[in-house]
Amino acid sequence: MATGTLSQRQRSDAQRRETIARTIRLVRRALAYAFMIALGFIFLFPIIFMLVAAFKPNDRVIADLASFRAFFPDPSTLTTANIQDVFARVPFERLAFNSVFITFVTVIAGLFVNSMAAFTLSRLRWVGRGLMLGIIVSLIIIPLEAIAVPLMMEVNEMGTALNLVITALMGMLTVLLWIAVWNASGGWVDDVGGGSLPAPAAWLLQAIFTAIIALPLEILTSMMIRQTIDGGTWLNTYHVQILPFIAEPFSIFLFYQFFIGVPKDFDEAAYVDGAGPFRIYWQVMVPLSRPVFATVAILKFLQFWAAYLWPLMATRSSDYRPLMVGMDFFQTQAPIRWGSIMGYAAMVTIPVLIIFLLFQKWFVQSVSSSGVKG
Amino acid sequence: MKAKILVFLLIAALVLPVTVMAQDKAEVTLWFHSGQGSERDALAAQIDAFNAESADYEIVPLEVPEGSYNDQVRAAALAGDLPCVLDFDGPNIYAYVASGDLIAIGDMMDADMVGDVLPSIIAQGTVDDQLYSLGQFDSGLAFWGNRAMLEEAGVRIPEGIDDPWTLDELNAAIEALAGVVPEDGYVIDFQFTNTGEWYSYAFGPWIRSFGGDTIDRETYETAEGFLNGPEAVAFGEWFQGLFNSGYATSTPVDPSADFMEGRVPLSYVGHWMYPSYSEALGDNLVLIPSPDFGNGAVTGMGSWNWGITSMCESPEGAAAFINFLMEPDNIVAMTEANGAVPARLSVLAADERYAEGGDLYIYVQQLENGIAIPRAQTAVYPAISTAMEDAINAIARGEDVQSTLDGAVDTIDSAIENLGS
Amino acid sequence: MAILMGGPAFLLLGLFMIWPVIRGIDLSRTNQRFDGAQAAAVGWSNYDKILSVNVIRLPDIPDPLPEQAPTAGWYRSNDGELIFRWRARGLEEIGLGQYADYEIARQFSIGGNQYAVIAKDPLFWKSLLNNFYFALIVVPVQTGLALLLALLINQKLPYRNVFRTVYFSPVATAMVIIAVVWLFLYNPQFGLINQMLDFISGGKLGPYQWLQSSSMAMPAIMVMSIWQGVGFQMVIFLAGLQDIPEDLYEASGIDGANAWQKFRFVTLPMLRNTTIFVVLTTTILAFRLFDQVNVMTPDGGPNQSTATMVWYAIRRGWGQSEVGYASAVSIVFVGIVLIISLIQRGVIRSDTAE
Repeated sequence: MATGTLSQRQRSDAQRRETIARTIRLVRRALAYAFMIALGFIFLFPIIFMLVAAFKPNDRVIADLASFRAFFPDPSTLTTANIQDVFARVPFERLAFNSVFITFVTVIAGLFVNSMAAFTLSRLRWVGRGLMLGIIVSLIIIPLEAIAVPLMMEVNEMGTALNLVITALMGMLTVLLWIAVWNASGGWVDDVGGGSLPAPAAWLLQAIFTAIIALPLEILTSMMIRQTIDGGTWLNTYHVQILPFIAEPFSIFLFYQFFIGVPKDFDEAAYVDGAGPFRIYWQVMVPLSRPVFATVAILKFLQFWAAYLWPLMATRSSDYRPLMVGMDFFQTQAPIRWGSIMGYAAMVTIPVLIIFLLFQKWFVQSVSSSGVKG
Repeated sequence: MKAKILVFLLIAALVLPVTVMAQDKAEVTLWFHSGQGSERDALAAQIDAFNAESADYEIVPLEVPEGSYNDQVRAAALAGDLPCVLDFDGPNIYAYVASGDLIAIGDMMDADMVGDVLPSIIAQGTVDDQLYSLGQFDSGLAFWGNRAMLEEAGVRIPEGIDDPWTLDELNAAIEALAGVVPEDGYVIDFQFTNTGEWYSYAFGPWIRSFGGDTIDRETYETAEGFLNGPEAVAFGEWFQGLFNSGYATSTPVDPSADFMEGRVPLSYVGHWMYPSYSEALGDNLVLIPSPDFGNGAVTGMGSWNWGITSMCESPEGAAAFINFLMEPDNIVAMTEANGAVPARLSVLAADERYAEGGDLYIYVQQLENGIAIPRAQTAVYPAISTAMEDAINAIARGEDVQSTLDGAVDTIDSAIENLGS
Repeated sequence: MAILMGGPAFLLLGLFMIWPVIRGIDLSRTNQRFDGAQAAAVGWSNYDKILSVNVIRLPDIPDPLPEQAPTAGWYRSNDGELIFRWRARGLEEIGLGQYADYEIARQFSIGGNQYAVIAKDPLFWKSLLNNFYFALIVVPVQTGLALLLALLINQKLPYRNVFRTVYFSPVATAMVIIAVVWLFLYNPQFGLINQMLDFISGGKLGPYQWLQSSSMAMPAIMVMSIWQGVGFQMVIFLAGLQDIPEDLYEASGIDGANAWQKFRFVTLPMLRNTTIFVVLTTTILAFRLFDQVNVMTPDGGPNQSTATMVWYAIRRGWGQSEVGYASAVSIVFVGIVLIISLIQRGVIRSDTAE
């Protein structure tokens, strides 16, 4: 609209309308913020309460419950007594290592194994493929808790022959992972060094990166070999907490969903170049599906980090128990130290929250581009 | 070059480290429940002392949280990896012996020492005339009272076990005490933050004192009519009344602190709170014997004790350790730490807390005069424990007493039936 | 090649998911126990015990009611409820001897006559109903709330990512930890939740006996579960919202659609697949309910109001060592969830076909 032709009145009308519209927008925005802040408080207050209580003297935790003091640290009584008590009472470092180790190996091995399975289901033609897909989709609904008791009997009866088979399988996976990560990380090292690193340094970097990814699985395999040699049951080991959860129907399903969305031309181009399925999986599929890898990794990380029932049933000693089961150390005879419980809860939660804060943007993006939308 | 590194990596992947540790001492594994800190420290010190002293055996302890202790023992029995020396709560012995998890230790124990042990501890560890376990202490269970508050309310404080409160007297005392507790207080603490064994240990005796029981102690074949008969229901109705009128709470946050800080005048809890309570209340702390609810006063006994499992590869080492634990000095150190009744008569005689007029004399009286009775001596005890825990909690929450107790009986009876099948 | 690449996953799935199910079916026909007692085959009796249900007519209510509860017959509980006491010993006398193995699950009256639903294992049915109750409330509420949060954050407001982080943070916290913290918050005397309700409503609301009353315990667990899980569904909806092409909104704006119409005719249809995905996954999670119950009400809550099927299987198998019976419960549970999933998928399919 050309303003030159407008009369004075029209102009002021337009201005007024503009002002009204702006006010409405502002009010709406303020309301939206107020609503979101109120909701935010509801979502945060239990976590704030936990973090604050962790640094209060034991007796204040209860005393402050009855008021809004529960949300505010009192600078005069700030204390790390609870944290010290946690270290005195439970082998925290060991439990933390166990949790990290178990979660890391399960997630890494799971990404590898499940994405390969999804690749064969979505890209290769073989007899029984449709049946396998149907079985996997129905397995999604079976919760671990429903099979925990029979599974416990099963891992307890695991014979040497089966042990050998599974250990050999893990050994093969380990070697495969070494090779695959080594090959894949070459390009990554070039990215980091801008392609200008001297060869030995680049290789060293590549080797270190490969070791970080593959070594935990290697350690696990070596433990399994030992256990197979020594005999005894699977109960109270690391692998009893890892192996049953590496292959996971829901992860396979998510990978499958993403892979069938990738156009076939990519593979065909590679096939023409004479690549085999494994090369295509590794050099075409994996780079294309970073988002879905990230999504599955985060989902599984949260799930295994929070695992409670199975570790409680399958392990006895702090040598192998994860952090969640360590909570039981505080639920003992009187006097219950609520401060220590909150301290422990905070220590277990803070690292995850920090990781989540660092990666959350990336996570949301990966969910939106990985097609976790049915 | 790249190929070389690849080969190197492959070798790294296949040469898997298998370490073998050199051992010059035989390892004796041990499980213990994580009780209170002072108890744990005392045991840790004794394990260290034994390991320093012993040329042949090394005790390797493992602390298992008390809440799931029995589940863990059962799972370990299934997996065949029970420890050598097992710490367990007394009444579970029948279940463990029945499933062949424990070995008899009578021949391996020092005879003089066994002769000096409290009869109640010997009775607790004996199944079919064989000794399977020994403990460093027996438990004491009675009311802890806040003397100043009791006096303010004009409540009679019983001198000893000859004049315990009757039900009417206890009710009157509760009413009177309700007048003196502060705004944020209540009258009796029943330790409802506990899980597991507490409810059977603490309230089974009261049901007996009312005239009921947790199981038929003649035949051990049913709980029908004992745990859900009119006498047990009378107990339940009375108990529920205390919660309904606000004299007790089933959702305390920190009941022991309530007692120590003067918000509650009566705390029903065992000996294990003595160290904390006496530190907090000093001379103001008084021990009041178990009330007589109509069929004589009855209270709980028995405690954690040590056995040797059938999976133990060096029972001699395990036995040496139990003998070591039962030495007077070690019993003294442990009972100093947890306030329990020392398991040896000679130690008891030398301890002024248990002498006439001592702080804890009432425990000794209860143990010596048949007031303290063992929990049901049957392999289905674990089911009784669970059933009691659920039932007492349900009653305190206000659920119908008769149906609750009927449900508990069903749980126990079906366990008996399953065991027989 | 397919065998080589997919093999590890299929082998592990077979070993640790399919085989336990088969082993479970096997165990469910025995009376196997954890504590080493010899197991014997018991045929289908575990299933018979789980699934036996019957409806019978109860004797009329006598007048006056007895002072004390009879072995089998009517009495009035302290809070005035009429209860029929059902003990095997007394059933012969009142002509119901053949139902000695049953217990009363529920009573009702039609036309002045008293009836009872009896089952050999009432707790199983109670757990099943509780699962349905939980799912029927939580699935719609959580899905709706997740969509609302996603729409709020999807507005192009500054700092919206802060809110996204805040709403998602409970998801990053382990359920076991959350349940312990909420136990504290739900405490009737000191709990923050009662304090806050009191503060907000000026003393009109509360104090509630959250986990101590049979009517409030399950809702308390629902509130906590929704609070913990909704952030995740929100992120999925956000992803769905970001996939809707902007020009659809522009086009509808030119057609004169208001905000509600845009939501109704553009957003909702475009979110159809996302919603299906969210509903399906939330349903499965709702039936898996266990961790929260186990921490907050280990005994299954007041009057077993928070017992769930998984909780029940674990309690019988792990807590009471009855492996055979617990396996049977698990198998029945898997069957039920399978049927529910199939029904849901069928509904979606027929919907799509139209």
